[in-house]
Amino acid sequence: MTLVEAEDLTKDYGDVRALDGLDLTVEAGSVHGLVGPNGAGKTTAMQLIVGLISPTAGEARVGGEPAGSVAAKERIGYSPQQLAPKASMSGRRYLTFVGRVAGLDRSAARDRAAELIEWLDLEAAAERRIGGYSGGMRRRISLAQALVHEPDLLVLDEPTAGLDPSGRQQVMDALEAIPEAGTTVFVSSHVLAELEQYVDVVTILRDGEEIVTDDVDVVQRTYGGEAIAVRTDDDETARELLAGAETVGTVEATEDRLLVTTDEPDACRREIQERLLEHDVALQSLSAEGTLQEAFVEAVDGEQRGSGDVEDSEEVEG
Amino acid sequence: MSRRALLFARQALRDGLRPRLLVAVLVPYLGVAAFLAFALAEGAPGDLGSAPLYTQEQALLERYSQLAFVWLTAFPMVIVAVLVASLVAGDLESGTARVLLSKPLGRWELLLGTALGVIAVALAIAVVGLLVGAAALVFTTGVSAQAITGGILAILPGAVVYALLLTTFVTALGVLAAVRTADRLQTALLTAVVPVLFFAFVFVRVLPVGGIYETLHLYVIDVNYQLGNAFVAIQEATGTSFEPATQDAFATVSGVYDTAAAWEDPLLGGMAGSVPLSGYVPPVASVGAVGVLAVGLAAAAVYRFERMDVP
Repeated sequence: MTLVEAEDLTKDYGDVRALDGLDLTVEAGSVHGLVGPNGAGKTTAMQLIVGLISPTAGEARVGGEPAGSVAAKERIGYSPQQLAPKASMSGRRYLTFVGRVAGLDRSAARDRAAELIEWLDLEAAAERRIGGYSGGMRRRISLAQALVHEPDLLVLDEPTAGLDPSGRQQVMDALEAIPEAGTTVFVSSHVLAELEQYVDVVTILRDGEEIVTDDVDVVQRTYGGEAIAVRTDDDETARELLAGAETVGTVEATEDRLLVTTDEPDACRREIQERLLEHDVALQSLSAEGTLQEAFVEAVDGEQRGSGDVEDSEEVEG
Repeated sequence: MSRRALLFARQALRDGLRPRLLVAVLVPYLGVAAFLAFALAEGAPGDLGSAPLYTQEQALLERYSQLAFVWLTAFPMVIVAVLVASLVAGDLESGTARVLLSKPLGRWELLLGTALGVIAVALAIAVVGLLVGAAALVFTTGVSAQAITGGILAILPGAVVYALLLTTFVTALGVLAAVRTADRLQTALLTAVVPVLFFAFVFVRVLPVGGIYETLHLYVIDVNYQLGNAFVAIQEATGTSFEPATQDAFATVSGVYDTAAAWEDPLLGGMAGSVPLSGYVPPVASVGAVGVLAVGLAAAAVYRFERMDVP
């Protein structure tokens, strides 16, 4: 069953297009990741689905109800990238207050706050003012407030951004426990690697545009491993040659190079050089890319970038 | 008013009555009130306590009406500006509102609930000020306790109703400013336009530029005059009519009465009859205008808030 549907979702801020025609479905019970670099449109997409902002074009529906309607918001728990609770409130009072705002009666809100405080291991800080909480504790309180009315859909905007490894682990541990309760999770991150163990489906955005949506296994298989950029004097022939290579995962042609993915980078480099040499294709350069996600986005985007992005570059004489 | 709106009102009340904020507000407010009470008592006869009760009541009424209008009900406008900037614009600016608006509620509930809380805080402070100001005047003028009924209690209900109208109007303006700007400072400054005009027009009216006030119809935007009119209309509606001496004194601080048109009775040695109204606008029309403006501003704020992006 589809819980979230977005069709041609577009948002402009003045002359800037923050999101450009996003088509998206989030299936009930799934964990759907939204990945992309800063400025890709992740937060905009989430805020449109939650109904905090209105689309310039297109529409989003949650459980069949228009995004932003009370009926849609009854099904959503939203944890923003930057939680700004009333800093003067204690964690327990904040959760009780938000619970009551979400429609629980006084005693139910108190009970739910106590339950979430215990689940997120915040008992020691529950009576302290949120203003004095660490980043990790704030994230957990943010997660708790999103869950306070037991929503069907949890929308989490960069839940681990800015946290140290320990804080990140605490939040990820909490997140991993959520799908067991049957809640659908829609979570964003600027790092694919962070979500790949957690999500079922991933959508990658760049510059407001959807690059791909697929099962995370497919994305990993297709674009996983390490990325190597290959420049030759005959990319078409090189692509055919490399597609059949043993150590090569995928080969994508961009405007000015081939992007090869592999799980065995050293062996792959050797095989690329050998194959091209055998067939008289001149190898101009062979270079490792940055992160897999960047390499992937760049490959699909086909945008020519400067050599400053290329790490560990080695020139090879053909 | 919905249950959620009342929840936001209670939270705003709690935020507005935080001890630190309360001390920061009450010290200057009540300090100035006491100072003005002392200054107003300076002009009273030294043996006022032994004068006939009616004289004591009128002396108290003359001073209390000025104090109530010029300061005790006016300063809460500044409190409203601070609270609306902090609780409405501040929550939009900081992102606190984002989480609340993601919950299943109508946006109007957050806005009107918070506005209701702001009005309640300002009104509570105004009532405290009216009581403290009354006590200070009774003490400094030396009137007997019996004079309190005719000198204070006669206008206290009307003053509270007027304070409610005034704080509602300024809160509506502040809320609209908050949703338009989502900026604390701009909201505070825009809301403070009302109290600034209120105090400024006391001086503008007496500018030695012949006829400019009437020629340019400045009375239309004379907040001080319009609110003075509303104050008088509400007092009359609650059964209190001012005596000539009080009308004369009130004319100085509001321009509601035309002192120049009053005539002195040589036999009585004072003003006879009553001081006529300045008559630019009927007092009831000023009450209506303030009320309509308050409703209009609040409606515009809700309309805007329901449609605005809260990123």
